[in-house]
Amino acid sequence: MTKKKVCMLGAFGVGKTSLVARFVKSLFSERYHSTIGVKIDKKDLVVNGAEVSLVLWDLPGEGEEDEFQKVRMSYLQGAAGYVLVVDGTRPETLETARNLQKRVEDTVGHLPFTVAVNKADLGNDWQENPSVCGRWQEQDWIFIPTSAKTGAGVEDLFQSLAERLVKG
Amino acid sequence: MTALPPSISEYVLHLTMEQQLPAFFVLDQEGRLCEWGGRPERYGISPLNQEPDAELFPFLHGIVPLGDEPVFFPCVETAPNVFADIHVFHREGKNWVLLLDVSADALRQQQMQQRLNEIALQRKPGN
Ligand SMILES: Nc1nc2c(ncn2[C@@H]2O[C@H](COP(=O)(O)OP(=O)(O)O)[C@@H](O)[C@H]2O)c(=O)[nH]1
Ligand SMILES: [Mg+2]
Repeated sequence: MTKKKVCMLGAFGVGKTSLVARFVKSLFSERYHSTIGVKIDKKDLVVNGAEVSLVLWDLPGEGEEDEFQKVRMSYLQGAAGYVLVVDGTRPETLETARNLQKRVEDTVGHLPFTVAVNKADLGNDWQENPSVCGRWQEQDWIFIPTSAKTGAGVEDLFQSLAERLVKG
Repeated sequence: MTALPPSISEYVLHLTMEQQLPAFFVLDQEGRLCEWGGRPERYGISPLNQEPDAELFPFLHGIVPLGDEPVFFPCVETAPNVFADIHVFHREGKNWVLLLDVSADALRQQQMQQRLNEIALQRKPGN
């Protein structure tokens, strides 16, 4: 079976751990438990009739002004792609995602990624806010609204990334 | 740096053995296990009673076949609440995987980080 390593990247508290928990175990917890180090999970998908196993690396969140909380790029060694997670209720987390994406590009090179705009269940104010909206559209990024709470968009998110990974 | 006298290097070695509970594995180029020792059970890795399909080293996926460059994955949770610094390197014609226990530090850091992040989230308007 094809296996693909996928890293979850984004600011802290955006829902990286929750998205993995929802996708792998169909679980959600309101409680915030800050991630230290890396937790590795696995989930099998079917892409174009073939089974693909995603090896998901849940990385610690990136602090905004905190050097101490910088994500270590060494974790991306061997990754086939990544999910950039932003919190739809905190537009500043898009800035963090953008910085992370650039750091990945600079250190590991180009890898396919998809962007999860998480917490969609809380409303997606950013879509109505013109200043924010402009910022979200200026990239040719693939944004997928998700909710780890309700599960909406979560399968789509990983499925669409898996399809791009299989295409190579 | 000057060389350490044996009493110091032995002491350091003893400390590492006591506190970091090393486990090591020797792999072939395809990542198959050839040899192991130390404390693999500490990290939830049991080469002997392995389920037929279970993957022994999920953290190696993507870096096998191993290259010459050493790989370092700090603080990987290999079993519930067990965190290891994982070093993969090539030496004397063999591929070594070394796990060192960093659980105590990780759990301390977890608590500190948790408080900092909770405070930061509370400060945000709309949270
Ligand atoms: N309402 C809502 N809350 C979420 C969602 N995803 C995560 N959360 C909450 O946001 C907080 C941070 O989530 P977590 O997964 O730990 O974020 P991480 O730091 O990126 O791993 C937790 O309290 C979660 O319950 C979501 O889709 N909707
Ligand atoms: Mg987390």
